[in-house]
Amino acid sequence: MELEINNMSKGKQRKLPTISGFLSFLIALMALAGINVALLIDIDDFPEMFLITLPIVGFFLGLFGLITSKRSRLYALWGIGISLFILVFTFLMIGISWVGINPKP
Amino acid sequence: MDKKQKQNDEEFYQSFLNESMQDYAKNHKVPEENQKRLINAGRNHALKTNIMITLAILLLIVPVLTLSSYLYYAIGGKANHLIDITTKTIYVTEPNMSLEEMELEEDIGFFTMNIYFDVFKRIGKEDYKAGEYSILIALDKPNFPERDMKLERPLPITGDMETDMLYHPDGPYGKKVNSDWDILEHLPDGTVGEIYLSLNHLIKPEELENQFGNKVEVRWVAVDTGLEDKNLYEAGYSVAPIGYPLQVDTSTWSPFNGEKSNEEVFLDILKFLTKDEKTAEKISRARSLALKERISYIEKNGIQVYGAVVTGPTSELRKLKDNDLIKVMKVGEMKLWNWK
Repeated sequence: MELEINNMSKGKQRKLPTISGFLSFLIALMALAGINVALLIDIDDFPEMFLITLPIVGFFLGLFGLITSKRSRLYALWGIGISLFILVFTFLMIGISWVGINPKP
Repeated sequence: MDKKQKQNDEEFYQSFLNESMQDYAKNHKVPEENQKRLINAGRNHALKTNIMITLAILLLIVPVLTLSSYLYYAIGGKANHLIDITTKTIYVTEPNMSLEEMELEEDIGFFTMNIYFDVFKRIGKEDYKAGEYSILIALDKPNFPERDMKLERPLPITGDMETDMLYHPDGPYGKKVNSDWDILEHLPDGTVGEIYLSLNHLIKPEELENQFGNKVEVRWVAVDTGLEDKNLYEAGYSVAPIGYPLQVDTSTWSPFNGEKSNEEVFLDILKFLTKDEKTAEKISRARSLALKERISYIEKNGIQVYGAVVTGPTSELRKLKDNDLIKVMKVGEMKLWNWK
């Protein structure tokens, strides 16, 4: 239970996550929530915002969030991880629907 | 001397230690309010992190399951294979029935797949929608299909040699069945019809085509596979007629598209279905398909037919009453005139 009181009193350098890392995680979570809704209520339209726009924003914010030497990178890494997952998910789902299952010329 | 020295050292050490402790306490003194603030901030941060990570894991469940299901059905072409089995089973087990594979839709859930398609019957010169199929496939095991048939006289949900209107000349069924000629007599001439003919003896399919004249089209023939003329105890299986369309089907994505002869395609389909016989049995209306026995019988004896589904103008169909080849005639569907 080291609270690093010494550091705190000098430069307020507790290992808080970076703001962009936090935003990245938050945006990735919003995109995931949107995908959940789209999948569960079976929307026919392609939810481009949740599948492409938000994950890309989340990914780059996460990259910015990584640029720090003293703060925690935890949120940034989660943000990047989820954003990448969503992008891979989108790519694979489009690919599979197009050629993998019941392809139509 | 030594003792004194040691005592001095100890005192010195003790005082040094005390001094250090006091120094530390003085330098590191944090006001109580700050301590509380710090603990609160730490607790809030930990709580926030916990909530966000838990939320992320919960929200990942549905996409991960969805993606895994798609991968499961896509890898190795499992979904396409299941669709293939389904469509080919329909062609060889449902008399005069075809489907538009381009219109077949699939819907993938969590490790389940629903396939929906329409089936068509040729009555006269036009294809009419005969009904809708919906089949739920859990992993690679289909449930019994849900059929919504839009027919006047649909065949029963579970078919066998007694119920499917095509009777083998030497079989136990069909001897006491009356033909439906009176129905045809009462139908006006401006109609076209589809009828089921059971023959007096086995005949080669190519000979059958010339038997009924130009104005009647033979759509589907029921093939003798050695099990149709036996009763349930002799055969060991409860089977229903199997057969194939006699006409080449160029307009749709049918397997009978003329690249090979329809007989060859029929045998190919039976061999293809042998590998997944249980799946095909679920989709067909027959209780069992017994494909291995039937294929070896056909390969030994060649393709001979004992029944046929034909279509044409009602007036032409009525004339078949005098045909010696026909033992039993059952009426299928009727439609308004479309014979052009």
